[in-house]
Amino acid sequence: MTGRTADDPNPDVHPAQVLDDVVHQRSRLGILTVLTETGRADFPYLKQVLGLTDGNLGRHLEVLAEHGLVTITKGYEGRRPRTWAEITPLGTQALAAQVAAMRALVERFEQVDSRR
Amino acid sequence: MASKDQGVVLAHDVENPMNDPATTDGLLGDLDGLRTRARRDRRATSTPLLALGAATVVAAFLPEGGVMVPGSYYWLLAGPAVFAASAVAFRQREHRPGVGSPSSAYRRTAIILLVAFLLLFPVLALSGAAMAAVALGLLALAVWQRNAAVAAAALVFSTVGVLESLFIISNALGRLTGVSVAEGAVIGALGASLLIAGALARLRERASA
Repeated sequence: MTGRTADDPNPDVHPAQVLDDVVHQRSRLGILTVLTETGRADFPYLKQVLGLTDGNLGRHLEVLAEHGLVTITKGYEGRRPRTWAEITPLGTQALAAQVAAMRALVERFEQVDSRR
Repeated sequence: MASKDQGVVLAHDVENPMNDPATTDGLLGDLDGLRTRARRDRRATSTPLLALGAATVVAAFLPEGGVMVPGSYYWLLAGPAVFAASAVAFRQREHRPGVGSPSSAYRRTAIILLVAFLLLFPVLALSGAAMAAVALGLLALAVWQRNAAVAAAALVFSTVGVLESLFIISNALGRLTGVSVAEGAVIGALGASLLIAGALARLRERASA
């Protein structure tokens, strides 16, 4: 993680430089977006909403968990195993920074486009 | 690889399409769509509307009046019960579609209302005040959930409930139409409206499931 934010006071910093490689991946952005709204969600729900396979979702969740952006809880409901993913405060912060950087990137692009 | 020219897209943006502003714009749109869907799956507008509607319809059949009349005490128990029933429904929902639920927030509101009603019993025994307190709890949850439909229901419920506890609406309707409005008719209509709104919300939730 870069540690910089999209509203960095340094005007020389291009918004793309603020993008965080861990978060800036389509599926991981999707996972964090869903979890920001729901607080937590189980594995089948995330799989269905994001259209991912078991393996893909598992790998993305692992990456996010390694960076402390989500926590994974495994348990049982009756005999059925159930895996929950929950967003951490760091994950909420990282997503907000990422979305702000992406918006800044689009805004900058539109400004340049309108000047042409 | 940062460019000094603020207007030029970075060279590595071309290598990574995710940094391309056109792709980013589409991605932001996709994220908004995901956010909307997750919010809809989680908040289940129908649950509190149906619970509140059912409690309001029952209230319409209770006699209103002095402090010793059961109707005066009704909302002291029904208010927390509405939130407790919503908490149970949300808890069940949490186990079905696999999203986190606000059941604990509803449970907490039920407890807060029950304690408030016990402590402020003489003031809140007036059904209008108790209804306003119930609406306030619902409004707080609606703001937290960013749920406009529940917020609107809370505002309508408190406005109609408080005014009708003083018979202002039924008297005004009687004067306007020349027909005397039966006791409980306005509260009954309010409850029925909430039930219809809840049923419509439930149909929408099922259709989008």
